Amino acid sequence: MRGFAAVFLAQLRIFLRNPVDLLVTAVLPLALVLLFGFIWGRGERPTRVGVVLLADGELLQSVLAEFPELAPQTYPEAWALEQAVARRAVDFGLIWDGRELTVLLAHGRVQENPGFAAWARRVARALERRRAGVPPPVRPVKVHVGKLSAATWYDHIVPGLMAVALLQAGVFAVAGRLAAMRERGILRRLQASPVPGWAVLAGVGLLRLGVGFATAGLNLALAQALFGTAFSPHVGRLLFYGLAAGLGGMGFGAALTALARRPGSAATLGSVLVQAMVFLSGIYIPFEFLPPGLRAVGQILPAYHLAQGMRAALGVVEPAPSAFLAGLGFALFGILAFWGFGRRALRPESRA
Amino acid sequence: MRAIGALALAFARTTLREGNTLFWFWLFPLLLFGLLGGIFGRVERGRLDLTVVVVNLDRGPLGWELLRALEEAGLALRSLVPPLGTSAAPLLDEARREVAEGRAHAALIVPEAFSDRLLGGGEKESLPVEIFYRRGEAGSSTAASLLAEVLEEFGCALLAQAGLVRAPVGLGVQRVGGGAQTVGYAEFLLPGVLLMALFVLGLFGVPDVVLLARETGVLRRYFAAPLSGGRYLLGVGLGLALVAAAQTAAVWALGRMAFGVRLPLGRPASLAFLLLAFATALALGFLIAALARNSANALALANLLNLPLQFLGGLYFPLTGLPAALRPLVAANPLTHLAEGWRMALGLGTPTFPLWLNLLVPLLWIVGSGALAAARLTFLEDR
Repeated sequence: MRGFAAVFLAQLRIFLRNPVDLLVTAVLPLALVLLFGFIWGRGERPTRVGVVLLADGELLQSVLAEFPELAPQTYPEAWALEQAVARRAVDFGLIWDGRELTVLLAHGRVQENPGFAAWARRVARALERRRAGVPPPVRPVKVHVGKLSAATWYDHIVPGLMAVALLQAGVFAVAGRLAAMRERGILRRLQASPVPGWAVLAGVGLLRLGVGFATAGLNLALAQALFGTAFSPHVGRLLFYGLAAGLGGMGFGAALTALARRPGSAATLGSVLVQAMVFLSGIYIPFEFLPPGLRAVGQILPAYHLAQGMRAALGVVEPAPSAFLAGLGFALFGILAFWGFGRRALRPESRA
Repeated sequence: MRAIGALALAFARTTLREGNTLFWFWLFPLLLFGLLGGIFGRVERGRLDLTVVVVNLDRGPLGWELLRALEEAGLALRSLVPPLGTSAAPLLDEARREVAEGRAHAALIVPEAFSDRLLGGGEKESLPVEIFYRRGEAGSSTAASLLAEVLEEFGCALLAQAGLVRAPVGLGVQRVGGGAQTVGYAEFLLPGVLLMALFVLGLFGVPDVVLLARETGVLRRYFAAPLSGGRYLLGVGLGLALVAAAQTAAVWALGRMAFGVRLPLGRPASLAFLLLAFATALALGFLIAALARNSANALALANLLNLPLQFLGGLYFPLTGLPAALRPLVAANPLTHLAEGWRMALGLGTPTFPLWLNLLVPLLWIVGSGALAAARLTFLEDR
């Protein structure tokens, strides 16, 4: 036990002194939570529509008042509105001459323009009805049936980032730190000391796992403190998916180390593959946006299920058996692969 | 001159041989462009594979007509109809569960009185129609918006058929702030990916050729030969330019072949911004090399700068609605100005900052970084 404590403390000092490790496993995930928080963490804002009223202005204004999601701003002339739309001072523009509605869309807002055009169509239909003096025959009523009362896209990103923080901590514990220790002969020298081999592996592994948990916890705290996210955490599920991500990550790192020729290559490969997994797992980009082929790939990746599991643990989505089984399988794979790595690395005849 | 050329070629060859640089300098820009262009190009064309559950409690004809209208809108429908004489409650529960548990993106509940109310006419109040969805989830919110739009259009068509709406309002579309052509996402993205590639090359490539080469004694050995620091830097700069030119050509070719992007990159204004971006990326690389104590520190610093610069520079998506706290960072970010200026030069939009500022900010970064690097950077390791 003393050997384990000594290795653990030594590794903590090394971790705190190494700027790259500190950055990749702790600072970068926090920076992402802040960055995404500033972009998506403030809930949905109203769509800003610039309006030029050439005739029958009261009619358009009364129609726009029907839509609380729109924040209208009146402009005196068409050219002033064109400038405002082009420079993104408003989201889109409407010019109303009493008969026809012209919608102004900015070049470059390629993602949002279809939504703005849909708004213009709704306004045009409402104008027709108002002029005819008839109410809309049907009124869509959206009912939120998800888990959180005020869910935003940011509520889905934060648990995903927490899963990534733990996954990365696990991968780099083995593919980065332990692989480098093996190549430099540090593991062999430690075996010559009275410290048992398991204490060395556990010291490094648990420290990195702890760092992963600390980063994930900080992510959660920052999201709640700065952006007012309203999660309902389930401690048992959080621990389960956290451990599954960390242990599975270690196993993944062990597999990469076995494949790579040099520890540097294992770490590079780990970084590339983790980012690819994150990209295909609906963590940064909504999963529905991916083409069917990439979605099929994403659904067999552990990162997708870990992110879903973390979301369930924080009360963002309903818990799903598939996420639980995938998490359990990934954790078991991680334990076995890490054990295999340990046996190879600590073998007395090992030339490492 | 031969030494400079040899150094440039050696640098370019090294980036192809090292796994790390091969991926980040050469493959990553192509992968990122292919993935983002493919994914968001599909979203742009409205191909989202959304699954919708429709609980049709209506016994009249309009419920079925609404279903047909939803199918025409491209939604994958799962229709639930209660058998005659049975309660609708289990189906409503099922629809709610399907959406809540993520198996469907949204559910539309067509009420019992749908046909009667709409065909009867003369109602003073609109008929509420419920749509179940999960707020905050992109797919679910999009499906709910699509359902709402189809429903409203359906109602308006009925009014028109009944002769209640006699004067239709014409809807014209005008695009402002760019060339005459419609801009696709791949066109918007291409300059952003090229800027990312240039900045990754500068931020990570320059510290490598200065700090790592200094630490491993490579520079000391170079300078034992008749090679001055200036010529070494020229050679490395030329090597970086070779890689940047090849990257630009590769991304441009992918854009043209995979997404049909035809951007006039060779326009003088476009070339000017490309050169300015390359110089800024090099200057920032030298700034990192000057500030970091060793190559590990430089790698950390480059990583720390890289993502925020990219995200706050509007490389991949237009920057809109950012909070006031982030606006000074956006305004000071050289990538914001390079992306805006370059896109303007390519006819892809009107910049939110004036042109002089889009030129001045990168120039200030070049001058400031260059001055600091000149004052602090040494090529030989301390003894």
